[in-house]
Amino acid sequence: MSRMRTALPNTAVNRVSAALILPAAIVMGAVVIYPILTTIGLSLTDAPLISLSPPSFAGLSNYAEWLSNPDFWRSLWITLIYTFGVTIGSYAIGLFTALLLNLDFPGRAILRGLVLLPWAIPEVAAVMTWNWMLDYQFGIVNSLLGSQVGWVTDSAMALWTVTIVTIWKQFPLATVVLLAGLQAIPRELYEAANVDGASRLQQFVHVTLPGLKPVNSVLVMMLILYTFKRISIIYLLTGGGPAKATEILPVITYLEAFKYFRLGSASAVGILALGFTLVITLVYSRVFLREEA
Amino acid sequence: MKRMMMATLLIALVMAPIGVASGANKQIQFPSWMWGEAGTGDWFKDGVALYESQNPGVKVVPALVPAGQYEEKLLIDMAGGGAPDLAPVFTNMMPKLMRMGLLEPLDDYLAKADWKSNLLPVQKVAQYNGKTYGVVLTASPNGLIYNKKLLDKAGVAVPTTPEEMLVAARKVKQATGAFGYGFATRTADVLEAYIPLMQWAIGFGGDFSKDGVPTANNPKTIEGLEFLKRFFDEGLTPKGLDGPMLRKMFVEEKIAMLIDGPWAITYVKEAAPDLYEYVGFAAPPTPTHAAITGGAFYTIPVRAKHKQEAFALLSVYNQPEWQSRWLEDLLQIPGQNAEISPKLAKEHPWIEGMVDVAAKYPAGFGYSAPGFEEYAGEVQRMVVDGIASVWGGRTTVEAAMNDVQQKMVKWAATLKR
Amino acid sequence: MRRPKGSIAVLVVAVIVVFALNFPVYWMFVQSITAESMFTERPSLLPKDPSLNAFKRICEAKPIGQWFVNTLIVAVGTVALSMPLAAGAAFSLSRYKTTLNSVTGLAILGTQMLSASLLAIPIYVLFRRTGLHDKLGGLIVANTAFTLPMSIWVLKGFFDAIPKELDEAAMIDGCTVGQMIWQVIMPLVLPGMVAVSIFAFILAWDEFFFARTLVSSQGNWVLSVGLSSFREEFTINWSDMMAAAVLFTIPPIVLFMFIQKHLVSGLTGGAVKG
Repeated sequence: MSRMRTALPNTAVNRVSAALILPAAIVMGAVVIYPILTTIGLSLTDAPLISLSPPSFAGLSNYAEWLSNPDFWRSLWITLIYTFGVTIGSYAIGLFTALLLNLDFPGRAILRGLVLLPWAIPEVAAVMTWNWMLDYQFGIVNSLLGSQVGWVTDSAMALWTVTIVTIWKQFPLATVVLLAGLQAIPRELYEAANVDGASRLQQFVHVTLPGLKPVNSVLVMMLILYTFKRISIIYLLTGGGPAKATEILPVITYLEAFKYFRLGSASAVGILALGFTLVITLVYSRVFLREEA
Repeated sequence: MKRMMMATLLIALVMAPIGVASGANKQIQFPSWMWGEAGTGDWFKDGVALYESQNPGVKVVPALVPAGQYEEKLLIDMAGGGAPDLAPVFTNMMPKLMRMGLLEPLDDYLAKADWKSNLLPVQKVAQYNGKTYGVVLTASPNGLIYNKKLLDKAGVAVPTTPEEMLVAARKVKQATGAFGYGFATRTADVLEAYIPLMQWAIGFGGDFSKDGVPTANNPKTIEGLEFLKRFFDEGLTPKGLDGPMLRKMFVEEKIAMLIDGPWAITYVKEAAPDLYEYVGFAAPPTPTHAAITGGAFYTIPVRAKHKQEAFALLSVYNQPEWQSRWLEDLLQIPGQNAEISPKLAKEHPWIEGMVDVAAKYPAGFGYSAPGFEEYAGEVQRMVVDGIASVWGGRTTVEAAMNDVQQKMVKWAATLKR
Repeated sequence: MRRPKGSIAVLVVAVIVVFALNFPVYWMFVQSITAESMFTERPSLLPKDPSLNAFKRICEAKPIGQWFVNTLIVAVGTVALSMPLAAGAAFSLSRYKTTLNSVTGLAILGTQMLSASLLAIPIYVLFRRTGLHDKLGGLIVANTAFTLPMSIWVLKGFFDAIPKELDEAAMIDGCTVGQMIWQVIMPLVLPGMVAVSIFAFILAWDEFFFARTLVSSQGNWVLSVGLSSFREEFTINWSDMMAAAVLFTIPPIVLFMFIQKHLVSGLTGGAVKG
């Protein structure tokens, strides 16, 4: 690879590359590595949320209990549906809006700003607004659709509802990144395609999509990671209910730790969730990030 | 050059000690969700001013924590080595905190307090293994709160039995279009959704457990919940709302009756002064009239730095004049039995009724199922998960409660007790 | 510049799409100004007897200005701290294939995988020990740690797209690594820098979890904590909360429009020629 053929000798390469990456790694490491190690330690104990004396070692019993608990597997399944639903939805709407706003038309800058509103709006208030819009009795949604749906109170609907609300809150992130990706595609490529007589669709397939590739793979990865541990919207909207219908793994973790005070048990769920994300990430990076990584 | 400026700015930002600095020798950390509330906040602040004037060199540091985050914040403070000196806690937190050994036993301090014997009966929630871990701050009963105007329009009297209440609710709906009775059916907030269930289960002589044995499908429990469901099925209650929204509707005269604490009336007084004189308080019209009692306790964390001072501060609030001021300003019951002056009784006629209910029918302390005090959160969630399917129209009360019972029995067997 | 035919048609479509997606925002705004009861079975789509009372109330009753300043410090600080760190790390990941880098690259993603509720106590302990607890600076550091992975990986994608020959040419011309990144490469990845700085800004602007667990003094409240205080123990100030939310949505949007207009268009033009 040409990448190895840099203008610097090898030891210098190492030094420069390390000097560039270490500051970021240190900040992240300092804030996150210590908590992760603590959590792994706690997951092997019966620690309560707050302990005045050292907790006693419990081996892998927390893990064994969760892995044999059907609630855990159900929750994992719900988490996966939520994660992939949100990722696919956010990406699709993000791509659509990015393509639209990358076209040349008057007032584009203003619309590019406005499309970010869902993302920029404070989450606490946005979720409460949704909650009210979706209210069975007084909600504008049921009123406009003439429907009588318990969007957040019916266990058959709730998971779809929280997925849609999360997509709505998150898609502008995809819009911004994809828009930037589109802007970085050299215009010459389109001009060349034009000269070759390529149709709009052909241009999209042969110029736009390959041009987005470097941001695509990363964007999807990050959407998955952020959604997998995202608790705020579900917690505010349904609290994991009704009847556990939206009880994703982060909700279990939160309840175990802060409502039931079982920090050891909560840590085990957290580490299991981390393990699943790690597997997803490794598989994904093998497939999509390899040539660039 | 720009980069240098940027870096300097950054360092300045990160390092800037933006926070409260004070020269006082001792700082009493006193977080609360009440500092920002009209009425309650002033009451506490005035007490702090008095305390500080009597104790030069000691400074009380009030920290407002929004109510919704208070529990989580206090737990993290305690777990992370930042325990405050004086911490009010919600009733439902007491059993857990005591059993985990996080609170300072207050018996030695209380021994010298002349007001000790005057504390409300709910004080027993703060006792565990023969020791006292908290001092009741306020405790008020949930009673029937009604809008007399709407009841009059419907031509009904204040109900005293479940049947009367159902009839009243129907007539209110017919005559005025308002909802007869509002209760929380939004299950996202588990405690909010649990309180009406408890109200009706205990109101019919049942509960979700007895002496640590689950009784979720006890016939009386089911009967109570089925009665409650009739309001839901007949469209006499707005669906999917929580407490704050129901109180807002009550203030707007769109609900005629709530079963709620006196804070709902305080809110009416503030938000709709014209309505205030038409609002009454009566015993819950269930067969047992059981009135779920909610409130808060003062506690001193075991890792607090200034325990003596914290207790001295809470003693200020327990002086008779402060206790009557709580009752008179806030129209809620303080931590001690306070005398109702004739003037107060005349101006706010409903108060005598409330005090009477508080004395006769107190129930449901700590919002916990009997025998599962320490695990109240888990029981609440199991019950609410069950009822959520009922409110969602997916199952019957009986089937749901049989299911809850099964889960509770299985779960109770795993507890290390 | 020649506008393609049908640009007005595109405008119409774009307006419809953007406004449809923003219906909840519109609804929030309506709730902040309408006089209609929120307990109306068929709420009207337009506000009734609109008034700005809620906005007046919050400006009088709540320290909105202080929340605003605090939030701005945290958001700007997060952008300022995370951008150089992210750019350096991304460049390194893109250009130098050392073992350290491939491990770090994946480890960076690993930092995003633990549930926030489990991070709370250890970070709290860490921040108390280092004096970052209850400081806006602490929030900047915490937010930076959580914006970096996304920023680094997205920027890496942009760096990857730039031909290596360009840096080699610059180095041969006698640039140092720093000069080469700053003067040659940066202008080319500007769209990416804008995207990730917006990402960092918005994330920090709206961050709630650290803001509520790592800050105690009311003087250090940021907007998310302030907003949550509209819900009291027994009541909620609905229209006030909506009004505050509307106010706090404006700055990031204005910022983005400004950047769009003055930075991106001008500089991508340059990039194409480069």
